[in-house]
Amino acid sequence: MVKEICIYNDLKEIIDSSTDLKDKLNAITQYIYKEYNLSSYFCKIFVSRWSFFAGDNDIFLSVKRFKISNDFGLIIEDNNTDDEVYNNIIESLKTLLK
Amino acid sequence: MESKKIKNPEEWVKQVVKQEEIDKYLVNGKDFIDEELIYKNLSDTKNPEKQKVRDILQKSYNIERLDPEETATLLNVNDPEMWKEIYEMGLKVKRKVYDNRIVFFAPLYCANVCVNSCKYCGFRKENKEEKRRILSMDEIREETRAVVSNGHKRMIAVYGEHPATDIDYMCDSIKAIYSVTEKVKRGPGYGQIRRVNINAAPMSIADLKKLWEAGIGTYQVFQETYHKPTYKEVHPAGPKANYRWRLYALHRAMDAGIDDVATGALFGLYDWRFEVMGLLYHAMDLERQFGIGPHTISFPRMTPAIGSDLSKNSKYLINNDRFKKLVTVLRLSVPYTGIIITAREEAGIKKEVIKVGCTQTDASSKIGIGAYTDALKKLAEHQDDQIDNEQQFMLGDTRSLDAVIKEMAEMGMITSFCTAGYRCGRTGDKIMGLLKSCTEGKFCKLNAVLTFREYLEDYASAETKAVGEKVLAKELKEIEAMEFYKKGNLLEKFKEKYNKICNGERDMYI
Repeated sequence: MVKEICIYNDLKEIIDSSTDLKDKLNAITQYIYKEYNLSSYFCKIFVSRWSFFAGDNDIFLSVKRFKISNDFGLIIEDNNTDDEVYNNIIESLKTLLK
Repeated sequence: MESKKIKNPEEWVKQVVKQEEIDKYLVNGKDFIDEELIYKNLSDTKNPEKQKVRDILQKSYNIERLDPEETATLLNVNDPEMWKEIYEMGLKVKRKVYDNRIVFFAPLYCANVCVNSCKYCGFRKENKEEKRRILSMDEIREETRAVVSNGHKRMIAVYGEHPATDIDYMCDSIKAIYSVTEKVKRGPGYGQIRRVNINAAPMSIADLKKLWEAGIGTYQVFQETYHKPTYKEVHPAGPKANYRWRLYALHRAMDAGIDDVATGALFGLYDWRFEVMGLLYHAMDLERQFGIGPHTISFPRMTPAIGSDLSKNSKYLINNDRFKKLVTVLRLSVPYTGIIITAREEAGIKKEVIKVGCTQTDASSKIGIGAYTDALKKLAEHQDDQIDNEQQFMLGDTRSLDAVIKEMAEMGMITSFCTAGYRCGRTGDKIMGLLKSCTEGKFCKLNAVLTFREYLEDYASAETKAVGEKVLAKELKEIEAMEFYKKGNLLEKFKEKYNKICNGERDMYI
């Protein structure tokens, strides 16, 4: 619970510190990498198509895919990190990027 | 058909072409097709030395796009022994970039109304013999059900150019296609179309943005011919008469955000070597202006169309030998681009050409309007299901998807219905980078296995399953042995998804 609040607060601070959406999302992916060593990128969702929007432009071999909102999804490296970490990140993002 | 106010075609056509959306791409007022330069490319490279050709083949194998002089050199090779080396390299390049898979899709012709007058096409507005029809959204859903019930997961929706099938109709039709789920032949699962590509007329940037937001996969516009006098001759009226409006269709698509675009030429209108060069220059200009070339290239050959003398009598119709050569040269010239061979071609030549580097094909295709649903009725009545006054042209290969998949498996190739890249953000310049570095092919291999497993479980006949299992086993063995897949937890994740499919889950991808 403490960890969850911590992630939420960190992400909120990142989102509040910029007005440009792309900058916010880039900064979020940099935070995720710094804190959890997980590469990630945001995609804009158009029905079935997920189009790269912001974040790490490298390719990762194994990924998890999460829908954050109707408009955005997160592709994040899957490297056997604890599910709780992913859940905390995703739930925070879902709330903050509504 | 849902009630909709259809604009008067004569008024509608006046607003189609937007000159400012052509001019912005010109360089010093000129477009990128310099006919004199193309003729020079071709005349300067006659009778090439073998070593020069081999150097060019090596460049292609290094997955570098060829320069015009290099493509022209290949087009000028006359030595049959040299051509054997060229054909072999075509397949080697394809395998290096895309691995051993061939992707399948189905076309869906939504309407045959058109405001244009293309002399080679059954849809042209003057053709009184053509029975006109526009599918309603319900009919599109019925057609999609029929397509999905064969096992397809990818579709290309095709439209004429007409206000009744304008951008709103197209967006609605994409939505209708995606909305369909249909029970599989065996087991409890459901199939659906996971990627819709579009073959349509050139549009404005504003309309293309709507298409993008509707979730389009690839946007495909064929130039038909890059030779300007021929273009003018065969497109006498309508918005399609504007060469440059069509030439820059894909540039506008890129500006609208559509990053998977596809080019093509209709071979048989003009000299085949010229058209290959035109396709290359088109790819080059897209790269120059946007950093990425076409996602795929197509090369339909003109086939007989009702009411079109040109389609039967053109002096530029090409034989199978030249057809195989042009496909191979395209494969080598733009080594990272997908290459599509369609069911326009008869089975025999299709099989030959797949072996020189094609990456996609269609099967169980019906190109009449409403033809998939009609075919089911006719099957019950044992009737032939190609009707020339309801189709744009006649198909050469009318075999079922299962039959063609079986043939691919007998050739040692794995069928794929992959749509992973499109759903994981691996599109546009991201996928181009992966293709050029031969990394995407590693994903292609895994996703081919996953989607082929689905097909074998849900749709395959006993004969196809028997052959298909052997191909799958070989692919799985290769995957286990390759160093690439041992990185991180990729192999473990792949096996997990594969086992889930074997246990009934669907739509797993990497």
